[in-house]
Amino acid sequence: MEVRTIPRVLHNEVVLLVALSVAAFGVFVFTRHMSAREQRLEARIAAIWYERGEQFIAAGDVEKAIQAFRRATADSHDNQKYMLALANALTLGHHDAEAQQLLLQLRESDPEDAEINISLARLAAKHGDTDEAVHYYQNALYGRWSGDHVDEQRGQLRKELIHFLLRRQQRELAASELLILEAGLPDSAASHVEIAKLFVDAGDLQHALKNYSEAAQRDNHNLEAQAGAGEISFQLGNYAGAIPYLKAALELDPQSQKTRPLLETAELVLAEDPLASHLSPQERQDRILADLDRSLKRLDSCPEPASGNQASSEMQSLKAEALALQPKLNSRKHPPDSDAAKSALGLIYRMQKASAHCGEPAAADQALLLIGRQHNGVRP
Amino acid sequence: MSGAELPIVQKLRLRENHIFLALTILIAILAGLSAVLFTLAIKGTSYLLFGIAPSYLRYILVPTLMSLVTGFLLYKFFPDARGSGVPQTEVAYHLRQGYIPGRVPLGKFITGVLCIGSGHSMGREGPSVQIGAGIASSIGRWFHLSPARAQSLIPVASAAALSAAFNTPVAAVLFALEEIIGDMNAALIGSTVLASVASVIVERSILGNNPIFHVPQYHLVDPAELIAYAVLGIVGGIVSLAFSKGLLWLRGIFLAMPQRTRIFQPAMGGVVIGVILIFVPQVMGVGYEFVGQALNGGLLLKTLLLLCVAKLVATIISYASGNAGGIFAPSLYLGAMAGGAIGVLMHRFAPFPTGDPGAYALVGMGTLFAGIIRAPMTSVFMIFELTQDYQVFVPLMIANMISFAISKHYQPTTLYHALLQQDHVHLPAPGVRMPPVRTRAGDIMAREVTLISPEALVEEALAAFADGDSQAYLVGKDGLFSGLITRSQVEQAVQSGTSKAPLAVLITRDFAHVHPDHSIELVLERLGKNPGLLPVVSRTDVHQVLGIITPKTIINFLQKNSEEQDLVQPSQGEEKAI
Repeated sequence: MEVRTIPRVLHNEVVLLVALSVAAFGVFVFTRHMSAREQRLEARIAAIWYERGEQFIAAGDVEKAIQAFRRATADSHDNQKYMLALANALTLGHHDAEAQQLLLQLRESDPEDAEINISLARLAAKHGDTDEAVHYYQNALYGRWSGDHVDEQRGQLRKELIHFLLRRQQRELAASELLILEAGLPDSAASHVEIAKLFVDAGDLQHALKNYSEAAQRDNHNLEAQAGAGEISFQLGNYAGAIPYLKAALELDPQSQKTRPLLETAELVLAEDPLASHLSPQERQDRILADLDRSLKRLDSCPEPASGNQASSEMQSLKAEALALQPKLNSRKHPPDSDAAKSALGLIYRMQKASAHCGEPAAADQALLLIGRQHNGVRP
Repeated sequence: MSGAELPIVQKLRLRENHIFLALTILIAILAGLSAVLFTLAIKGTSYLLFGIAPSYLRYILVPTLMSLVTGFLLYKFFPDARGSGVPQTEVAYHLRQGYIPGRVPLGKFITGVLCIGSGHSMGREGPSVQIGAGIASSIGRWFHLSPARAQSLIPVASAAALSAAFNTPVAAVLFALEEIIGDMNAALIGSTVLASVASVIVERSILGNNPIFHVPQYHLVDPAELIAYAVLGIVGGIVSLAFSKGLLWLRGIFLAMPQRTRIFQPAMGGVVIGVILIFVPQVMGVGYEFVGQALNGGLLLKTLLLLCVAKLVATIISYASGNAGGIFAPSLYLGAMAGGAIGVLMHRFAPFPTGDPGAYALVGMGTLFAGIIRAPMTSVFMIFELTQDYQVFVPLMIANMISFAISKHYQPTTLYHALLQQDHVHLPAPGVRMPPVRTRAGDIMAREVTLISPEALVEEALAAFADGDSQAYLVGKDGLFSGLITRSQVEQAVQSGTSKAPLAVLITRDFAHVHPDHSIELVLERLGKNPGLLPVVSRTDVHQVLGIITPKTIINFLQKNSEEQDLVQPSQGEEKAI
């Protein structure tokens, strides 16, 4: 009898365990199915919230956009796009701490992603943290990009970095980024003009001139290129080089209030420079005498400073020096040699400088100052 | 019987501990799956009922109408499914040898989904524990396990369910030991660990290995910041007390209402919740997405304070009105908001450098959990599991212990136990659950109990006293007593001429009682406070009298005990002689 009952016990325990295991497996499959269905539903809802967030951003309602993006990320936890949108919206809404937290969390999972690094860079730039911003900008530039026109996007980001560096007075770093940008520049006048302006801001006038010139060559009707090349040539002391650009710019914009005085000054510099290499000794003498005479008149026209004043005594001393020099330079038999001419130009430069407080200089006086400066103050 | 067949069959027969091991894993899987399904069902229901952007009318109608449905279900079919589920699971473990009726997990699942999914401010972890424990109890019965084994399945399933519901396997084990069993050194630690691990593997294979919260890295900026965390502990203790006292007070009011209103009480709560949701929709349901925002410093001070107050009020109303849902998640929510608010204030006004408010929100979660649930070890390890950062330990322990101490000082009974006491269930306190006593009240008590009906007249009671030598009698009927009367009370009443009055006017309701597991020391202490009679009552219903203890029953017990020892003594003497 007992032999018959034991298989029943066996039957109960083993079969129940097997049945329970099968049931557990069935529940597992069902739960997985339900979970997948729930995830699809959540993904659809998250997409709706994301779209709403984008609409709110476009309408300028950042706080509502943040709420919408939050819902999107709550419904779709792993969606990097939604999280990034939320982080960017948080940055826009000045919730910087949370935005940074979110971005760092995203970056942990994907440190090479360009978009995440860009957002972090912009956040650091917003806080004025130059080192961190440059770090993330660089990571973004050399990171992984997605979508079309990647080179174009990279170029735009590099320009953003350059603008940031210029705002932070990091001119050297900006100039080196500009050189990289220049290497991949599209071959158009507008691009060269744009980069030339940035070179100007970065203090690299040579590269600025090069790009303005390139732009002017590609499009001689480009006013910015012609005027820019003229101005930079002028600033670099290349007055002869500046004149054709300035003339071309003036032809394109005859009403320009900036180009015309520059052109006049440049022409005067060329006309008044006594050290110009092409001059004969006689022509040099005439120019020195005329320049000296003009400078004396500038000093004479100056209102008398208070007696005993240091400026007054300096002006008196310069005038006396000039008057003493005038007869020596005036000899037709012995026109001044190059050293004497330099010495005289030095005196003229000092006289023009001393008369700086005597009112706005005339174009010719301005030209004399530039000539003196061009010849490095012309100390004999 | 064939002598050759028996050994083979005996080898094949699975021993109970093997079955228990297999069941541990299977129950862990099923409990974990039920917790995952519960979570999915709540989300699905919430989307279904509220849509993407609910109108004000929907905010009012959904919780109200759904609470009418759940009120009916809870009243008619699933009365054990009200509230959290953790206290009910403790009752099943300690007082009913692991017995949970089969309808309870089903009822809890349905009503929990409807209540939390319809916007009630309640948590899903407590119900998950009860559902898991209910499944385990039913399976234990199918396998005809011994009472001790069946009882052991309860904490095993609880750990598994919590592990899947909250994705913190270590904290789930500690919760089962600390809260359900009440003994950190319990022999079941191996089974609970196994169940917790099996469950979390199943959960992660379905939902992925995503933490519930994305928590920022924790930094203690300055050693002086520990002062700030101590302040957080004090605030946490106060908020915990406000929550516990408020919940017990309001629940007491609901329970005092006539029994016939019980069916509509959840809907009463639903109306108020609907109004709250119009103004503060962030308190809807579990609300973990807003906890995540607080942890990442994404909420302003005024929002943190508003959410803290609104969640506290909403959870008290949802729970007290008799809906099905837990307080585990609300306590974390409250902690995150209170902690975040303290963090912002400290950041602004503290004379020393402080960390991000998110770090305070994180510690605040543990602090409120320690203050409300009163499971300090679980709270510490739960936060540690969320952050996986050792640095969080010291501030967390400081804040938790302060909050725990304040809460315990002003509310000595834990919230779960106090809720049970409101239902006339007296669960043994953790310190007295398994005392090493030899003699208990159940051993001493006389099981023959005389109950005098409260409708009897005073003169009839006097006759009863005259017939016996008892100094007091219990008053009640049908095995349920409502008070007691003493000989002197009855004699005084007769002398004052009220012998025809009903006995009910004389009943004394302020007297001590004991439970069958109480020690003889406690029996003697409490008997001294009563007029010569100490009722021994059931823990599951304190009105159900199981026996009485009088000085005479004690003497009888001691005499009987002494006689038994006398019988043993001579044989020992003989052994010694040998």
